[in-house]
Amino acid sequence: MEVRVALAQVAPYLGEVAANLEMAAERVRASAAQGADLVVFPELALTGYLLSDLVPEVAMPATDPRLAAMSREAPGRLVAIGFVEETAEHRYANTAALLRDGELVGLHRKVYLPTYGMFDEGRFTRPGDRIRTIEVGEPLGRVGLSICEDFWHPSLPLLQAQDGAALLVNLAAGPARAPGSAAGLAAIAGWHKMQETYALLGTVAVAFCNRVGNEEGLTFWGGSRLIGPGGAVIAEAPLYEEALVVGSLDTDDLRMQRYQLPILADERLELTRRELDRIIAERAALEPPAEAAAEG
Amino acid sequence: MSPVSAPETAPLPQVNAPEVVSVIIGFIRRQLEQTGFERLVVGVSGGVDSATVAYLAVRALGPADVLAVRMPFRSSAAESETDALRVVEALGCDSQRVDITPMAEPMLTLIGDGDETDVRVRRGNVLARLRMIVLYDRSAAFDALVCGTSNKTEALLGYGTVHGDMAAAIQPIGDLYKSQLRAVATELGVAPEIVAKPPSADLWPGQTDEGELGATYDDLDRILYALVDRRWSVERCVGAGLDGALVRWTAERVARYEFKRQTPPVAKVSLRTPGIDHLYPRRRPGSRRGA
Repeated sequence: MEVRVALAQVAPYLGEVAANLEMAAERVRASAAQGADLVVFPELALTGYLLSDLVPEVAMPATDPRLAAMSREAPGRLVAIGFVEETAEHRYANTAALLRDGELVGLHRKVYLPTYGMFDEGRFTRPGDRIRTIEVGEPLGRVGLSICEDFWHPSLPLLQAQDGAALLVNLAAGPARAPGSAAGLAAIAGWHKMQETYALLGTVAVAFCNRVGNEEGLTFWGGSRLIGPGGAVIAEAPLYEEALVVGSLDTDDLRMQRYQLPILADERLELTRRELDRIIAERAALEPPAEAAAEG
Repeated sequence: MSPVSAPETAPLPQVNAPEVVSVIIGFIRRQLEQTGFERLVVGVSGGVDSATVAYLAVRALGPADVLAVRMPFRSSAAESETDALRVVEALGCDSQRVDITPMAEPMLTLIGDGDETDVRVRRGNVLARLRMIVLYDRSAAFDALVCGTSNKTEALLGYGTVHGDMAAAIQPIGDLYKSQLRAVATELGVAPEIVAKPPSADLWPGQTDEGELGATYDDLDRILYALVDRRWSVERCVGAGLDGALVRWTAERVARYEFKRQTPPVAKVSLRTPGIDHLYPRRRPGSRRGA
């Protein structure tokens, strides 16, 4: 069955939630008009990226009626969008919400907050502590959300593939380093390799939506892509410009890919866990877990 | 039933003047040590801010290593000069007088006449920037750093001239509100007349800061302390009895003049960019001259 995915490659206004909600609603309607079943926005699309102390001013709960209203612009369709979440405990997270008909279907809180080089995220938001997939119903089944840097940690997408995801959705705010130079192109090529590798090794489709625009000295590079299970590029947005691209996934492709390349089913999860337990214990200079010790 | 609590009020920021003086003196000494300088140049206007900084500089370094520069313009109030001299004499530091009128006239002629606000602001900016030129020139001659005299109230309100009075190597009183400065000045022994007189940039006759800003420093400091230090919302400020229109005006002004408090953004086009991912302490190993 066909699933149409829209990538809304936008340039959010820094700190202007109302303007971004309006922009998002417009893209949601445009995506629905093009038959999209799911529209994906970038990381922090409702707030902008370099927020610093604006974090508490732009934060909202995942159940905020403004989020719900925006998603109702396209009845029956899914919207994945990034924002700053304030939990009931006043914990501020860089969060992706998955919404449909005004309902929060699920969410992901960015687990890996880059705090090095040009990044300072850990200074202003707290990391998520769950890696889950979200049931969205037929034909897609389960979806795994992640946010930008999360994808630089292969455990996360591959756990989501093991957890039943048919589609990995990565919402990104990737600033260009040395745009136009060989180093800049290499950074983008790194992202491409990563997306294709996860699609191949997870036998799973990948939707990557990266923002564009400029904040302070940073320029975000866009280049959003939809990748089929196996690694083929289905749709691709331009670099640096706003765009709305729509591509089709076929759930039959996933089915046949997993028949001819059953690596996901062959994965030795219990073996992985045992070795992980051992590594964790050794790193912490603890006694190895009983099971590992018995086999040793 | 819980006891009825009194309505929340928005106080002035308090200050422990002796402690603050000791912290700032340590700051000045350490900054000079790390840069390899032993002297400071301070522009002394006769106002409480520059008087406080001059007193702090002399307390930190001694009078021989502080140069106070008085830079009157032809329209400057006579009492400004009297008060500036009073500071210099009390401290016993070196002082120079540089009349900026002949430097300013050609530029002011270019700007032309008029009493509209924008023309007055442009003229004021020219004077502030000429004083910056004089201070930096004298700092080279005196082998010193330029010591800033900007306070927290004016920095937050953007009530200063970029590359003018805001230009300096260090800002010892940049985290003290105007209302706190008076206590620090008194602690240091600044003359009561200077502490008490209405603050003025003295850029045109009869100008006062409070007249130009349209509010008293005490009112502004109550609001800034609530909004900035205590992170109160506008609504909470109003609930605590602060004037709503003034609170909103202040909050907008703090946001609008953010650019004055930061170095300009650099467009990142390389692997390492100053201010973005080339980040070092301003004073660090190797920063000391002659080291």
